Parts: sequence; C-alpha cells; structure tokens
Amino acid sequence: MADQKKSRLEADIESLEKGIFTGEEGGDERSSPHKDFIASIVVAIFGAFSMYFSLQLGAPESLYTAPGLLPFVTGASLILMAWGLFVKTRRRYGMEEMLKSEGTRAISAYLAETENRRTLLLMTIVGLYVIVLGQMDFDWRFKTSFYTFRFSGFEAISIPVIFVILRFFWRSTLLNCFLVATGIVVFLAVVFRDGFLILLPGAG
Amino acid sequence: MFELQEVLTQAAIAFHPWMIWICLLGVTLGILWGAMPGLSTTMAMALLIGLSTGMSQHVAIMFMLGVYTGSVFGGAISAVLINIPGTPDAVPTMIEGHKLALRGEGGLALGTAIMGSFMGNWIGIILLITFIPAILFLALQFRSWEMFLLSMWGIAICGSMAAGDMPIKGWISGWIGLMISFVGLDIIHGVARFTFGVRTLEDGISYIPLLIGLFGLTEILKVLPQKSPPGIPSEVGRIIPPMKQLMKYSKAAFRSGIIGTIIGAIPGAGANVASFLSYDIGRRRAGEEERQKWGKGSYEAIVCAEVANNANIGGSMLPTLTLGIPGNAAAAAILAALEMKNVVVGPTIQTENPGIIFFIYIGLIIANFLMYGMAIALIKPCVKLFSLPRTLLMPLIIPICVMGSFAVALNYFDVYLMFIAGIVGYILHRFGFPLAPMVLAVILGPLADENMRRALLVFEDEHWWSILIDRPIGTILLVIVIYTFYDGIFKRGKEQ
Repeated sequence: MADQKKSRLEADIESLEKGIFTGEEGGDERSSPHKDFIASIVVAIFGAFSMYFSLQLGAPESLYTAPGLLPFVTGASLILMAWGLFVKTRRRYGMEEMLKSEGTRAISAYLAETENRRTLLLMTIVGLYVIVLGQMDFDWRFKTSFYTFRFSGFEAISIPVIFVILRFFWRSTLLNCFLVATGIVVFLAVVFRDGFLILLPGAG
Repeated sequence: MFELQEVLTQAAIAFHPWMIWICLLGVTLGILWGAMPGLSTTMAMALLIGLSTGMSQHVAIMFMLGVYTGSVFGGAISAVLINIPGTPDAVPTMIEGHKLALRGEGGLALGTAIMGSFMGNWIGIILLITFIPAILFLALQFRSWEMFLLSMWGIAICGSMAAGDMPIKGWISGWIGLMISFVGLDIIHGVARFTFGVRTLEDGISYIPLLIGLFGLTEILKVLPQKSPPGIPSEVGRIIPPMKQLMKYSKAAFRSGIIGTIIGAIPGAGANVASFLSYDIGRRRAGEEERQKWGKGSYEAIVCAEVANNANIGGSMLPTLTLGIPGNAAAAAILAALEMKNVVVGPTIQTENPGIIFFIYIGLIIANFLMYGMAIALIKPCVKLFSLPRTLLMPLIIPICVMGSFAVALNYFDVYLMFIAGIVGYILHRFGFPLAPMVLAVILGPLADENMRRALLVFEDEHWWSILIDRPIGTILLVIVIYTFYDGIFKRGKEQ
C-alpha cells in the first residue's frame, strides 16, 4: 500500500480519467490497512467511553428526555462503525496486511521524511505561540496628534513567531523575514483593531 | 405587493456604494485566495468569519457572499496558468486549461472559465430563487420528529458524499462531531455533559474555532511543510472568448448548471463533486469531435466544470437558508456568519428575519457581476502572485487563525480549541477521514438531540405504526435515512 501512495491531485486526475466517485474530500490515497486497523480500535474505545459517561448522566425525569440518551446511542453506533471499518478493511486487504506493523521503525520512518519533521516542528511552534500568547496581557498606547499607536501582547509574540516560521520555511535573509513578519502582523493588527474594531488576543 | 416593497428596501441597502465596495473587497480577496494553490474556498470562508465579526449584519453577509463567489472561481486561474489547481474543484479546469495554455490559448481558456463561472452563478441563483418558497413551505410542516431525522440525514449523507468509496469513515467523522456537539449544559435539564469539571466547557464547544482549526490550521500543517513547487508565470494573451464559441456550449452549460445546483443542495457534496460529476457527464454527452479533445484541451470541458462548481454556490444556499443544514463546509461558514449576526436560518427565516433572503439573492447577483469584472482585472496580478512561494504566504495566515477564533466570543479558550482542532484535523486527514461531516455534525448535533427527545416525549403513548402512518413526511425521511446507510454499506461497498 505504501509504495502505491498517491497525492490528492494524482488521485483526483485518476478518478476523473476512470469516472470513479472519490467524494468531496477523498481520503483513500492517504490511508493504509494498518492505519484503518488502528483507527477502528481508537474509534471503538472512544465509543465505549462515550457510552460509559452517558450512563453516568442519569435520567432526571424519564428515559425519553435523559441527557445521555442520544450520546449513548451515538457511542454505540460508533462501536458498530468501528466494527464496520474493521470488517471492510479486512475484506479488502486481509488480516495480514492490517496487522503488518513496523512497530517503532514506523516512527523512525515517519521522522526520516523531511516533510514530516517540518510538520512536527510547525505544530510545536504554533502550539507554543498559542500558549505564550494566552499568557500575554498588555496594551501600550502612544498618543500622537494624528494617531494613537498601539503595541500589545499580540504584536510582541506574533512578530517573533512569524519571523521564526518564515526563517525555517521560507529561508530568506534575516532582514527579509523580519520585515515581512513585522509588516504583516502590524497590518493585520491595524485592520482588525482599527478597521473592524475587533479586540486582539493578548491585548488586555 | 408587500414582498415587492421588501425587495426594493433590500435592494436599496444592497446597492449602497459602501455595500458594493465591501462586496468588491470580498470578491477580490476571494479570487486572490482561491487562486493561491493550497488555499481553499472553505479556508478563506472560515478565516474571514473573524473579520466579519466587526461588521454590521448586512455588511458581514455581503462580504462573505463576495468571498464565497470569488474564491470558487479563483482556483481556475492557477489551474490554467501554472498547472496547479488553486482549489480542488479546479482539477478538471487544470487538466484542460493548462493544455490550452501550453498552446498559447491560456487567456481564452481563462476567459471561458470566467464566462462559465458567471453563467454557473446565474443558474444557481435562479434555481435558488425558484425553489426556496417550495422548500420553505415544506419545511414549515416539519415537527420535532422530522427535524431530528433531517439532521441525522444531513450528517449521514455528508459522510457518504465526503468520503467517496469509504462512507463509513465519513460517518465516523460525523458521529465524532455529534459527540463534540453534546459537550456543555443539556438544553432540557441543564445537566453538564462531558465537561469533566471544566467550567468553560459548560457553554459548549463553538463550531467557529473548530471550523477555523479544521480548515485553516490543518491546511497550513498539510501544505506549509511540503516543498514549494516553482511558480511558472506565463503570458496570458486574449481573454474574452468570441460569443459564437460560447453559444456553442450553451447546452452543456445549462446541464452543468443544473447538476451543480442539485449537488450543492446535498449536504456534504460541494464544488468538487459538482465539477467532477459534470466533467464526467459532459464527456459522455459530448459530440464525437469534441470528445476527442477531452483531456487534450477542451473548451467545453472547462465550461462543464466551471459552470457546475459555481452553480454549486446557489445550490448550497438552498438547504442552508431553508433548513439550517449547510450544503457544504463553505456554506457552514456562511451559516456561522449569519448566526453570529443573529440571523435565524431555517424554516422560520422569512418571519424572524424579514427580507434577509431577498438581500442574499441580491448580494449573490452583485457578487456575480463583480466577480466577472474582477476576474478579468485580476488575472495579470495573479500571475505575479504565483511567483511568491507558498512558504512565504502560509505563515502569514497563522495569526489570522488566532485572531479569527478569538474574535468570535473574545474568549481565549476558543484559540486553544482552534489549535486542538487543527492537530486533530491533521491526524484525521492522515488517516483518510474527511473533515466536513464533523463540522456539519457539530452544527446539527444540538438540533438533533433536542428534537429527538421532544419527539420521544410526544410519541410516549403512541404505537410505532401510528407514528409511521400519521407522519408521512417523517416516514419518507426515515426511509431516506435508512437508504443512505444501505447505499453506503452495501451498494457502494460492493462497487469497489
């Protein structure tokens, strides 16, 4: 399966040539029997948890209006769907393909690809950005005769973060990255704050 | 008489120069956004909701309609000129248009795409105006039982349409969305559900940060780490195609417009399904001489794809406005913008927001005319834009995700939610699960939950057979829901 991996674009072109329905978002080209096997287990566990916590909600008046009724049914159907996914994948590829796991080697194979490492790095940077910005709470104002300049936690955190991301991914000069990061963050802040009167995160 | 007065009042608002300017801004942003490879219509819609929070009701609606109309067309520009579809629905246009561009007919291919989009929008709008009264009349007959079944059908069909040959993955995505929608205080008893002691969760999970995370941040995580393909700006040449050539394809345009509108009205099936299906049907229906050109640079093929994906806009607004069920993920963003501006969509839209439907019709018409003009004007600037690397553009969208999700309720928890949704969306994408059913389910979940429990209370002392006989609309909907699952499990499964 892995050696047959296609991009979404390739899959779309192929489906157009063959007249096959691939759906609005496609997806098969990204999956594998082993991934489907893992997904079916995770979904089944999620369904079981949902059922358990739905039962904890009780039935204040009658069973018909119980707050956990639909969540319970949804959890039960998720287990059924997980079973359906398991059966369908087994029929298509066989149990052997489904269980074919590389164990820890799968993680090293994942990390060996530059694109995946870049994704993880991006996730980490964005995660840190969101957490640090959440701690910011200041909004300095510099009044002049024609305009009140403002500098808040949003600009203080966003400019360096966007600078770092640009430096990693765009790989332009330090000055270019800094100018683009500053320019875009200040522009967005002015448009949102002064143009559309929307409060910014980290600005008190 | 009353309606005519209402139409004139809404037209006066819509044709105000400020409104035209806002619509122009939306269309321009939409075209540029759609033209950039990797930036989808849904992403544009999801991110720009944040910007619309500071606008008044009519301005916000006009802006979002402009973005929607512009971005659906925008994908065609990069598809023709640099052989990379700006949006996934532009793949058929890319196959045909780029071949024409290599022969020096890129301008004409784009001109045909613009005309096709313009016609497609018109067909979609006309069918929307024609069918809204009938669907609204039908929707007013719906009670709790019918609303519950309709919501469940919406989620189920969205799952089927989004996931292609694995509808079960679409349903799982939808059902996970349902579980997310249950978080918060129960609407009947006020019991806290799945909050695990976290007070912020008692208000429930807002679907706007979810939308921004799933279609904004997930896209960034998918696209930014990829190696950027080199932009190849090319000469455009003549753009406006001769009238005679366009008339030749009028039959194909009309057929594709109807296909696009119908597909748009089905929840979960959006512009991609519309353009792919119309392209496929167009090939089968084309004359022998024209069919030889398909895949090698056919103008008729471009017309089929572009008319269908633009007619999809009108179609997607049909269930969104009349039933409160978004026709696709982009329409879910329109629904979010409408709800944020206190517009109650659904069967009572006419009574609760008199005139708003007329405003939306007029807004779509204005956006269509502006799209036509701006599409021609923006082709050359777009060629310049393609020379900018994706690695430069994508990071600039990250602050918009943060600002947009915060702006909705001025609650920083929503930013965390957006981030988590982005990560979850990326994982689901890697596992081949579609994302649109999840968003649709988060929107429809509360409706389904409340109406199911109400219906069960009403039916407490009745026999099941009397429910089936006394509620024919409900019975028909029940059959449709069962058939949707049957079709996904047995028919489509066997086909593969």
